[in-house]
Amino acid sequence: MNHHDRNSKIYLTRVHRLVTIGVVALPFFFLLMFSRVFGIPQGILLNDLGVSAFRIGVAYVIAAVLAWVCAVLFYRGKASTIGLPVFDVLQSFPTFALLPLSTYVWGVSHRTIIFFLVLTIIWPIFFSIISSLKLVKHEWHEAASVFGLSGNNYFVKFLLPVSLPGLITGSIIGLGEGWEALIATEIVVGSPSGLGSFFQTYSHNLTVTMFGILGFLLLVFSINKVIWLALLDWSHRTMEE
Amino acid sequence: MKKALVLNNISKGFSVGPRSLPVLKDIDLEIDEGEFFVLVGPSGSGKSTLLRIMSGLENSFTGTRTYGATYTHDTMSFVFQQFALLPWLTVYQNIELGLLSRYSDKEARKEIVMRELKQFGLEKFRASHPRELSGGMRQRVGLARAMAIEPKIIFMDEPFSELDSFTAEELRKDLLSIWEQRKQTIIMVTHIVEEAVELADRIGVLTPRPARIEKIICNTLRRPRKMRSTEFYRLEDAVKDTIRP
Repeated sequence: MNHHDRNSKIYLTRVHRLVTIGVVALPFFFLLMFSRVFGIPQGILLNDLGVSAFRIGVAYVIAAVLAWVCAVLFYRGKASTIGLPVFDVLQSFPTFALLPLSTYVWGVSHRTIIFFLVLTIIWPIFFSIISSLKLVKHEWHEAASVFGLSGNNYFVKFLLPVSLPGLITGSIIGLGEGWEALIATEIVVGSPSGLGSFFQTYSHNLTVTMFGILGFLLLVFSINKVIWLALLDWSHRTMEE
Repeated sequence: MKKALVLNNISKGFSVGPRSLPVLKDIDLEIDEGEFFVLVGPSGSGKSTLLRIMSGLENSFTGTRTYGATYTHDTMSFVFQQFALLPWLTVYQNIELGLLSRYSDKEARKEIVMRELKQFGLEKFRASHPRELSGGMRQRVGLARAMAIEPKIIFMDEPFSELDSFTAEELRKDLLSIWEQRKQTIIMVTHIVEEAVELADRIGVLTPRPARIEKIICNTLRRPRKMRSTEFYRLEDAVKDTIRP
């Protein structure tokens, strides 16, 4: 480890820690102030936030797993020649067209909203992982083959690490689209709880709506800064040759 | 002498649009067990393609490839020109790679990895990642990884061409000393004639595309070879004269 690395490590352990704690605390502090100033019970705010976070969390896990499995199965060979054009058409499918049908089948429920979110989030993750896998050096595949990596070892030591940068980039884009789709869906289907419901309830009050959006942006910023950008940086560093 | 590998009538072409571009033509070759065989040839002659066919990494060709009776996929290893180390794994984990499917016991794997780390002077770097190492150290890891599985035959694709001349010379000496201890069969490709003369028992010279075996030159120079001796230069010139650009 050289001198420069050591310096950056000191920075990471002191100042960076404080900044991280600040970034994590910011949305909660904002929520507290927001609730006091506008007289909205914290319980309602936390419930709306919790319901929406639950929906997008579940949808994200389903989308990420499905996207990863499909990407691994279809990224090369004949499966890729046939599969990728089909997936490209599917991702262009107007997802909102399915919303009335899914509401009809499942009603105004978690399931309807999560289904819609999965369809929104899955594509950026899928295509980012495909792009990651296609960029894997031919020699790495050859090394994995020569040294007999198979089964669980192939999964843990090869497939997972090479697909991580794509998974992370795709997750950042997918979740960005996901939040937007989440709030839109909650408003359109008339969900009784969730952030969409909150914005719908206070649609007549411009100040609450503006500060609500600000709080929401702070939350997204905080998640991105603490989780996703850190993961993105880490994944690129581990792939550096 | 037992044979490690026998090639008969090996030909291969690459498709370029509707045409097939011949790369290798009617190659016959026999490799003895325990010998150090080096293939040389002009740039783009198909040396690496032939090595990949020999190693089983390339299986689309015509002709027959026969390994010695005791040779299986598990007994073959490969050293890559650009190292092909997995950057997300540490030096230790890279060397351990080939042992994962061969030894389920972690301690058994550790013992072998530690032996190779010591053999290649990598003990201090076991927890480092490849990006933190110099080119020479990376190829040491590549060699250690190849040797760790105790292969009977090792294929090497221009393993020293990415290194500066001092590092390459040092590494060639280390490789020779290890080969003399372990007596594995080594088949190597290089475009550096001096390297071939220093290392090989026999030197196979390929013609330009489509490659055939132009000549096989026996290298009877006594080891350790003196690279500045008249005999060395004479043989080097003979090989160079055989290579047609």
